[in-house]
Amino acid sequence: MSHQPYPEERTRQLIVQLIDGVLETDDAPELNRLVQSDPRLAELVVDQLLLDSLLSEAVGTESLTGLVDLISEPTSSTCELRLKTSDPTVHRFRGRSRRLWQSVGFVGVVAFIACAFLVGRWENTAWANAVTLMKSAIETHAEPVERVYLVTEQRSVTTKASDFRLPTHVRVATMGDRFWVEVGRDAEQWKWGREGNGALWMTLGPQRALKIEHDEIGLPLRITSELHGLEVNSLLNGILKNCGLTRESDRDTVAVITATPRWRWSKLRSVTLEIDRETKAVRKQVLDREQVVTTFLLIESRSPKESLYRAEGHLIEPAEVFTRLSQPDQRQRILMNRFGPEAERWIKK
Amino acid sequence: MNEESRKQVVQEIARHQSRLRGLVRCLLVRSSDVDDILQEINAVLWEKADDFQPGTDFWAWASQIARFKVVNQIRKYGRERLVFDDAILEQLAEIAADKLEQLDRRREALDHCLQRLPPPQRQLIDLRYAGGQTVESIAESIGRPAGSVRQTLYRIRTALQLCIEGQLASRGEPS
Repeated sequence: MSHQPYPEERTRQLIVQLIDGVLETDDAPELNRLVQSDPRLAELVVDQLLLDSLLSEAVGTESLTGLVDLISEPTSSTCELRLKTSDPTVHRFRGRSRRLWQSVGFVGVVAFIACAFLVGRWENTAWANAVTLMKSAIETHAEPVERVYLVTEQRSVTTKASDFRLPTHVRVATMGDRFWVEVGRDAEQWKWGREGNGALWMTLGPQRALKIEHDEIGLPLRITSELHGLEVNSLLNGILKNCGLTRESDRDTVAVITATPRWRWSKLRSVTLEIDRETKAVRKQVLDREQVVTTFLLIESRSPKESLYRAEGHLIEPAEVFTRLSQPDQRQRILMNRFGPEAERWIKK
Repeated sequence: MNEESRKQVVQEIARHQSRLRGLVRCLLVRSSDVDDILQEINAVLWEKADDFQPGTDFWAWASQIARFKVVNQIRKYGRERLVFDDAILEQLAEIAADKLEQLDRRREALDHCLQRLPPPQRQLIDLRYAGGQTVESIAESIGRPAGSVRQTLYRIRTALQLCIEGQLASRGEPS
């Protein structure tokens, strides 16, 4: 029996309206009738809602603010530990957490660059100056110089202290499109980063690490790594599209630029950058997000140690690195144990 | 239930978060309410952990509890937020629970299809989902009428759905 296109088309229209939150009250009974009339239309409704749910998960990442999550919720933030340590009457899981890889010290620069390139208001002289300054900063940071940033954060008083176990220190070393991060908390310390070939890695103690090759990185991770790579073109497709830019008054030897989202975006209120007027290096960047302000302060510029941009450079022998060739399932289990269910999609299956 | 069994239940709850989220969404819960309801479901699953028999189908057990919880929650929201009657919700839940069995493959297919989207369409999807913007705010930002944006999103979603079905079919799996 052939199926009439109209009910299918109409059902699709109505369910999309519902997804977008614009379904009129008067249209709801019609949608109800349509679904009742044909099981295939019920299936169509489920397909659309599933697609919406998957899109929210696949695309709806908070790339810019991931470092805050990393800093706030390091290895202990598994669901298991949360359940054990939280109020026994309310066991809450965080839906979009553990964005380990969605972070690095350069993210503020990238945010600003993306805003600058995408907004497209070249006629504004102050704005154009800001773009020129940022281009210079990009060139500076493409040089083979390793820059180390000390990362600190301040949380608002409304943030529940019990929700977070803050690290005692976080340092980010960056060079070109590579980086590695050192995170410490009490006696714990771990490192993670990205190699020149795009592979991501994380240490699991002094003798173990895991590595995710470039071509097996899941979509949420891929978006983030592109962000970190200062690949402006890929950022054109990104979420940093709508910022207003302000060139503040220069302070001593630094130029100050502020980028502000034009509407609610990823809980970010602004990014403030201080750029050395002589060297064009970013000396300080401040991510102001709801409830938390994260500051990256340049503490050292030095010749790079190439080996430290690979996991092996942080391990002592005999060392073991889990890769897709050696215990691939182990990597998935470790990531999910440490960072929760979101980590399931960090590695392509 | 011993400590080891409880640990397993916790792991299973964590492992099934995406499926549970999908199920909640498929029961017509507003996207803004999904996280709250999901957390309520997690709490109930944990409270009922002793009822779960290790070695049995966790998804079958958890999805039943989730369905019950969601329907109750929807009732609490009041009639103005109900779109479908209970019988339809049950029908949708059955279909969704079935489809969610192969959520991983569906997700893989979506990843593939997203990569094939032309850049302008991908940008629009990013604005809608990564930026979390409403259609109206997207329209304002890119200087197009809201109706036009809505229509474009409609076409993109339809194309993505067809692409996903094509991907699943090419692997010999039901869509």
